[in-house]
Amino acid sequence: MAKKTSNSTETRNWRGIKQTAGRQAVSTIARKRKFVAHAKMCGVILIILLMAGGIAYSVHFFRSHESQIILAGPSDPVRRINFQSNGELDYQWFKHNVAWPQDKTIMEIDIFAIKQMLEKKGQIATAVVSRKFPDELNIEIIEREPVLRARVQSEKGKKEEVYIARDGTVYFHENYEKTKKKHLPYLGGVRFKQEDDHILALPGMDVISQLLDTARLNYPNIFESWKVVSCEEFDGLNEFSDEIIKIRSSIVREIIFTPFDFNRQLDQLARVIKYSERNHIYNIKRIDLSISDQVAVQYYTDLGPKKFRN
Amino acid sequence: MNENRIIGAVEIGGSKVVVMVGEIIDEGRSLNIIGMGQSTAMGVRKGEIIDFRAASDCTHAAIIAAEKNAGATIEGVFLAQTGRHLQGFANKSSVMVSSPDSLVRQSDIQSVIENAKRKELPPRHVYIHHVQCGFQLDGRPVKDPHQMQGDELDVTYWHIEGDERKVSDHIHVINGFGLKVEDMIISSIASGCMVASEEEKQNGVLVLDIGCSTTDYLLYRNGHIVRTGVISVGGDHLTNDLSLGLRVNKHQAEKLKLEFGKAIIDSEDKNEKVWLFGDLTIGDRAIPRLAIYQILKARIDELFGIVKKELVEFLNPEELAAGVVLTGGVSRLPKIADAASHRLGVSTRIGDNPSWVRDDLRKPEYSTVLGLLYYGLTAQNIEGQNIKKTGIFSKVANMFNL
Repeated sequence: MAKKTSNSTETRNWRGIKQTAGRQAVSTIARKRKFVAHAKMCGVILIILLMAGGIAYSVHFFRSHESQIILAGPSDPVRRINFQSNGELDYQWFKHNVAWPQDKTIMEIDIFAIKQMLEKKGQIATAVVSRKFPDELNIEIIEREPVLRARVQSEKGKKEEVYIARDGTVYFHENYEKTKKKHLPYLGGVRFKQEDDHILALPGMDVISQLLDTARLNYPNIFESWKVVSCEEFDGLNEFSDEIIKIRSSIVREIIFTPFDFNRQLDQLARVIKYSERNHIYNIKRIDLSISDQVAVQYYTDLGPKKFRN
Repeated sequence: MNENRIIGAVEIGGSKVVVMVGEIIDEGRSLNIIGMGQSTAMGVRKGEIIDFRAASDCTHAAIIAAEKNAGATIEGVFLAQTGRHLQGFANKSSVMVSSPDSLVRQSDIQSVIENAKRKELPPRHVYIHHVQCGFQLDGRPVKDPHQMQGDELDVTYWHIEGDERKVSDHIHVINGFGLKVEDMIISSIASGCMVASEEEKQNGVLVLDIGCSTTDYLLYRNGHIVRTGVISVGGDHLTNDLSLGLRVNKHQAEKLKLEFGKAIIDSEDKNEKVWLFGDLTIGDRAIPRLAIYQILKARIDELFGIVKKELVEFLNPEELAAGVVLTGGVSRLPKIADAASHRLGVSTRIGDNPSWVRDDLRKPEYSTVLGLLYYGLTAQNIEGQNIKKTGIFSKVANMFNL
């Protein structure tokens, strides 16, 4: 390659002068400015490096912790059902009475559909269905507690026993031991209404439940004698009407309550019964507790002992 | 992409260093003047650096002040150059049109230009500018000879060269601040493009930039620069003569020049006196105005005499139809235009900087730096001169204004 000649205009232009400053040429001001610029640049680079390091560490952190996350195999079938209930129902009942899709995997099962299927049963108040990976299904049931029972006639003419919960739900028993429910009084004087495949809930049962609970708790002997609760003149819909609740017991043929202040009424009833027993009076026909602070007691008259059996 | 660019115009003058900061916006189409800094010049005599350290300190102080004023960091510098070492000469070149159909081709133009620029310089001298004075095709002036018919193509260049060591001193002062000189423009060209209109350049005009220690001249004819030069006489000489003639110190002489100076003598000035301090303190004395005016007039006459001697062939109303335009600090001396007109024999006016600059920047002493910024703006549009830093570190540094 030919060396550039000395008369070349390219080399003789001022642009050919090397633009570099020796250390001596740099003034104190320029040196200070350069130092500040370098310090700023170093600061910026440091910040960028810190940010990059932070990002790299975050990526590393999340990647290294990924392995601890257990993923259920999407195709695992249900191998176990953990059934829990606060009442009479058990796994055997579930197995024979609920048609859940056993051929599906745990992820394919519609747990909401199972929940709806369960809650359609009157005996079940709430059902919680959840998956427990990798292959288990948890079912937790809260059952309704019956307060009364009744007998209804089925379409085939057969008489069947139904139970009434505190919220008025009427349902057929499932897996009940009849002996356990033998002490429940019967409900009378109501007309059951059927809709589709279930009986409509009865109004006012919360008031009846309150009466029964108060009696069971404070006067168990009296409660045990109660056979029938009649709602013939009580519909539970009108709070301030003159409705009455009639109870037929083995001691008194008819006890009449108003739907208010059950403690007072039960206290009066207990005193009347106690007085009667103390005085060997067994021919009580009716005790009316609905007359404010008075109690009306009606006796059988001129009848032999067999005649006034309640 | 809208990337603004910050450039600095630096003039290291005899009395002060002026730095102006411009922001080039709209992809190189517009320029905003965003800051200015000044400092008293030290280590500089007649446009040449005689004390590098002192010149660096004052220049760097002015750059710092300008950057602070602008709130921005200068990315590149456009530097003014003056001094007696700058010499100009014309070089004419001719080529015969090579094509058989006598149509001028690009290769002919390129060839004639290269020939015109190929002129050997004395040792340790460098070219500053190659200024094209226009083409001639068979003796007739043409603006662009491409595809025109003719046999002989001529081009004349006005070359400006200077002492390499003196030029590099100026460059290294800027380099010492950590900046590069992007372009170097001689002071007369920079100031001339500001104060002379296009019409004046076409008709013929002489621009005289009378600074502190030098007078730079620039002659336009037919829209082209045809002559430049530097005379080593400036405002300092007026001050020196006043100091010697009136037996006062330089500071007092400068004060008298600025307060009472005038370039011609009027008949009513003969009996008037002015006080040196004006406060009747010890040393205060009355000085006849006539003495001041006589000294100034003598020096001004001498200055214009030198100009006349150098440009005698152009100083007539036919060659300089637009006359003379004065700029630079000394052009503020009262009646200097009359003195120039009388001495040079052509009409003379005081140059104004363009109306688009702020009022305080329209003073004639800022013509050169404004001209530098103007060249900085036009340089953005010249192909191949895009010197924008594109590296990732430069971009990061720009983001953080480093």
